[in-house]
Amino acid sequence: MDDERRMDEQRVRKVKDAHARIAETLIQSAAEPRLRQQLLDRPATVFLRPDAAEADSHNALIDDLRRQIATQLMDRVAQDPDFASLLRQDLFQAIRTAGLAPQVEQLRAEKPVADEVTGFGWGSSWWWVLGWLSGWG
Amino acid sequence: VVGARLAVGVGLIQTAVRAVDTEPITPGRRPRERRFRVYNVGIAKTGTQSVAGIFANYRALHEYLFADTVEAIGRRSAGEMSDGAFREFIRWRDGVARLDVDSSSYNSFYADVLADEFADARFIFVIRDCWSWLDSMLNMVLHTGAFMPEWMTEHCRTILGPRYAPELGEDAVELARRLPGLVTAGLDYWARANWFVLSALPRERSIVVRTNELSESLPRLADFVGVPLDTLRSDLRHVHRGTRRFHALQAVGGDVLRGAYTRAGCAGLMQRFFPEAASALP
Repeated sequence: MDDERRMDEQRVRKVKDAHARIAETLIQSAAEPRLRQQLLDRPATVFLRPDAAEADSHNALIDDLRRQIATQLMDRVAQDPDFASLLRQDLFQAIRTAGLAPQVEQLRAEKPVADEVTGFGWGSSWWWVLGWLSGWG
Repeated sequence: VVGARLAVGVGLIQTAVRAVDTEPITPGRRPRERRFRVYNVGIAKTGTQSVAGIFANYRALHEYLFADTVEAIGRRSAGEMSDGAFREFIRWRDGVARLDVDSSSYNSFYADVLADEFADARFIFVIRDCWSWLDSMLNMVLHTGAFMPEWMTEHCRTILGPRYAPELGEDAVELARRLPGLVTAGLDYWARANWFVLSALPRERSIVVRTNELSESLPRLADFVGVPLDTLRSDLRHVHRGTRRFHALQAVGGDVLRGAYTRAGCAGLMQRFFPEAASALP
């Protein structure tokens, strides 16, 4: 039981770390035009490790969806400091607040399935719901 | 001229549609467009993740638009959303990702609406025996409760009743106190939800599969949906295996289980689908 609990905690920590990194990337890019442009040029880098982003950035439709999501989140951060706080605290709630859940689901429907996306239980699979995290393992 | 342009336009669309239809199914790449419309209407913990995994070469998702959908279910149930508005939501939801297979555990709440709204839709109904279902459901919510957002906790309460609390998995004394109530509500939900789905489904557009037979049912599923068997993913047919066990059913005792089973009216479904387990307590 202790080992399983440790694994659960590691999983949650890994997801929280990834969410924090995504939030910081978006917040910094919202404030700096050069970073914003870099991010929009390679939108996979918002959500994936650099090497995973490189391997995963050859699908124009998926990149377009990522670009739309990142653009709207950065615009919202630039307009609303409270939204930046929400993004840091709870990435999914921030996405829902911004009305981007449908775009995220469109992205999920386009992305090939990885074991990481489907391999956890009900609650925890929700943490992975974006499929964005599949390369961040 | 307009007519000629229209004809050209229609021809281009038809060519595009044919290209989509004939696009080969390749692992690692989802089709761009919907090819068919299948809803899995099995309740939670019956293999909804596995069904999404089996159809992973198509546009298949598990727990699609989870938060938005269970909130809409809750609002409709509370009378805050009209039937018309709910149907509009369901049509909108269907159009967002244009899924081939929507394997969401809460589809069971509105199976009647799906059957009514989408005349071309086909339905996979996966049913699991009430004892292993309840054990699995309790394991999941006790295991992941602490990680759940509030809307998901609320959704769990529609299944396990108002006594469910997210921190119960960490509090053995409180869990023991509340367990009989969770068991009673859970079995009641199991019977109500499964009867509802069975009564709502159009027989000619539905297939019923038992959870314990899901792994061997790929040929039946392929035949039912009308896709080549080799496009289904046998490697993803059992993608979610629970790990931590709480052994809640053993802890609650035979009398409580028997009473809850009888009051909920589980026997009819159990005898019909799981006769071998119908007379045996876990």
